[in-house]
Amino acid sequence: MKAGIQYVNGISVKEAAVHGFNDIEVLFEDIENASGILDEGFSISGICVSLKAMTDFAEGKDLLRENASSVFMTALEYAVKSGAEYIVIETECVKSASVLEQLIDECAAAINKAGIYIYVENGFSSVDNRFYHNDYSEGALLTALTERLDALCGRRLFGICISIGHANLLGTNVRDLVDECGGKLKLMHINDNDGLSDQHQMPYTFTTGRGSLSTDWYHIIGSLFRLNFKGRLVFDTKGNLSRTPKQLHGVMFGLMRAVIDEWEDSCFRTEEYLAQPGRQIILFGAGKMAQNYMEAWGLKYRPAFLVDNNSKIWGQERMGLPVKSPDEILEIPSEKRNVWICNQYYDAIGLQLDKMGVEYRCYWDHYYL
Amino acid sequence: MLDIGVQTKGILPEMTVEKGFEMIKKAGFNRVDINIDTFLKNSDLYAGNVNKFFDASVEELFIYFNQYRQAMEKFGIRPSQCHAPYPVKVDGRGAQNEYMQGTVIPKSILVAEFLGVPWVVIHPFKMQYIYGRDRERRENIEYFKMLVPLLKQCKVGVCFENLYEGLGARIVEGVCANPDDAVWYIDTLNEYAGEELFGFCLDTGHLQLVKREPYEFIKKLGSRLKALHLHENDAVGDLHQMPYTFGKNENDGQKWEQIFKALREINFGGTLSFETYPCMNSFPKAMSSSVLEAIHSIGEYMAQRIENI
Repeated sequence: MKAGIQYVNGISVKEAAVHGFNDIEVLFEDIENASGILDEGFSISGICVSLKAMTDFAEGKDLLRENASSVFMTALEYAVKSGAEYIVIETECVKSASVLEQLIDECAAAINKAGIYIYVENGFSSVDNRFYHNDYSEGALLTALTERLDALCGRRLFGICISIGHANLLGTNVRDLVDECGGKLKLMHINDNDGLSDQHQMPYTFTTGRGSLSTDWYHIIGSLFRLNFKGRLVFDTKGNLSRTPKQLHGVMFGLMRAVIDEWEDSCFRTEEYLAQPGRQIILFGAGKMAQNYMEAWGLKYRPAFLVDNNSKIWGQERMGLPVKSPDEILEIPSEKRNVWICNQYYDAIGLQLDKMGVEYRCYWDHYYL
Repeated sequence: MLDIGVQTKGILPEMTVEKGFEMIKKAGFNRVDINIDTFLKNSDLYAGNVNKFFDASVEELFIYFNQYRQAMEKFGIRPSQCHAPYPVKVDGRGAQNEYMQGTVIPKSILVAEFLGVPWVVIHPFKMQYIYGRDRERRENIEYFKMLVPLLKQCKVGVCFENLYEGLGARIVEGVCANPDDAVWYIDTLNEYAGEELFGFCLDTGHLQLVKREPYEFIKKLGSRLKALHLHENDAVGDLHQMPYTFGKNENDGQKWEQIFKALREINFGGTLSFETYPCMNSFPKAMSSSVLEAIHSIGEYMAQRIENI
């Protein structure tokens, strides 16, 4: 899984690299700092350019500034020079897609020649501190737009970047947005907010009550998995890194790395862990989670049997599979079994399996619901 | 350097006691806030569903909590505080209130003594929006005075906490949300006890919800401040999340630098204790160790700031 961070003034890229973030995305207004990043031996993955900074709003509509194509060309040249893979066009606070089409039309030859990928980010418009949909907010519109831009340039260089925070501001169903963007989705900007302001904060901390997530993280990541997403995940968490004292940036990078590791290990690599030739898959749990497993994986990786602590169902069948006592796991030699906990009581069952000397993995159904 | 602690809620009793304390220790913590309130949950108490956990005899409770004592000893962890079940009084629930005040709280204090806990955080009664502040004060003082002989016997202190209440959809100040109210309670009860049996637990998230400046609050508390509930929120909901994960600029969110300065100035010698269990729910379960390590690192930073400010 390709993962990176967006550069924020004052951060140490070396500290980010300690946590495996070697690719740095840079905002166009920060490119004077980019040479330092390259000098230190790190690579610049992409440059983010604000469409708003190239646009005026007059007479009730967006108008491209006279110097817009010159600004974009500077970014493009810098991207080529620095070896960047892509440019992100930020579309917040611009209402109309026509200005971007005009800009790309003006720069089409240079884009074609440079061969740099260009990702259009989902955006919003803002009036009196309230957020509204714009031409860049919906998956179908973004997909159609990037196809038109491909046609303008004569090359398939355009893709979509989803900012989860931007989608939150509009109450968008991000899972659906991912599905709608499909193969055009090339980049995810990972950040979170309260749905009221564009905070660019750490994922998983915006909740209600005592930890109920306000952002649909599991389904979003599950959708990326089902899409076979091979693009890049970039933490554009400038709010978090600006808010956090510099001495704690390493802690925050560490937490971001742990988030990537979690998505990789608990979701994206599930199939790798299931596909172990010569080993029988055994699910511990014969309830709803096992049913979810069967719907998500059952056809390709059919379990040999289920085990459950409820002795009343031993000897019965669930989903066409025999239900047995957990002791039956020991009847299968350790090198021939692949045991998965399929029950929300991971800790208790894990302890039970530990005591039996059985190795296991946990099945996290919330990615596949 | 100040000790750093974390609450057990969200870890215990979900995990086995030994595994839970092992994870806490591996993350770097040497102190814990033992959540006795997990055994009789506030949501159940508000709903009038009182379980039988505290029907057990004191001896039976000691047998149960002995595993906590052994695990803490094994991993070199000491408790800085514990949290008693709450609410202790719900309007119109005579039998439940009697049980809470006559059985659950005294047994919690005895368990605290057994575990070597110096301070038990007990929520004072919240009554001001029904009966007014005078009656709230009168009934609280009356009840907590009754606990003094047991506290003396156990050599355990009680911490009051700054609380909020819900009025319609709005969060409003509750008992001890005003530092003068907090100081009055502590001083009145200690004067009655004739020794320092009452102190204060400052909840940093609750301060945000009722828009209180932490510096002024802490300075007014002075040496009465014995325990902390460190966490942060969006100033709208009581989210109990990790510090620094709200806002987008240095000056947004909780004013931690003010807190460090005030703690330094009052010569706070307690534990930097995090009440951040919702992080254990909101982050994926497989990330629990990483999340705890991050919280501990934030605690280390805070301790250094307090020392060097």
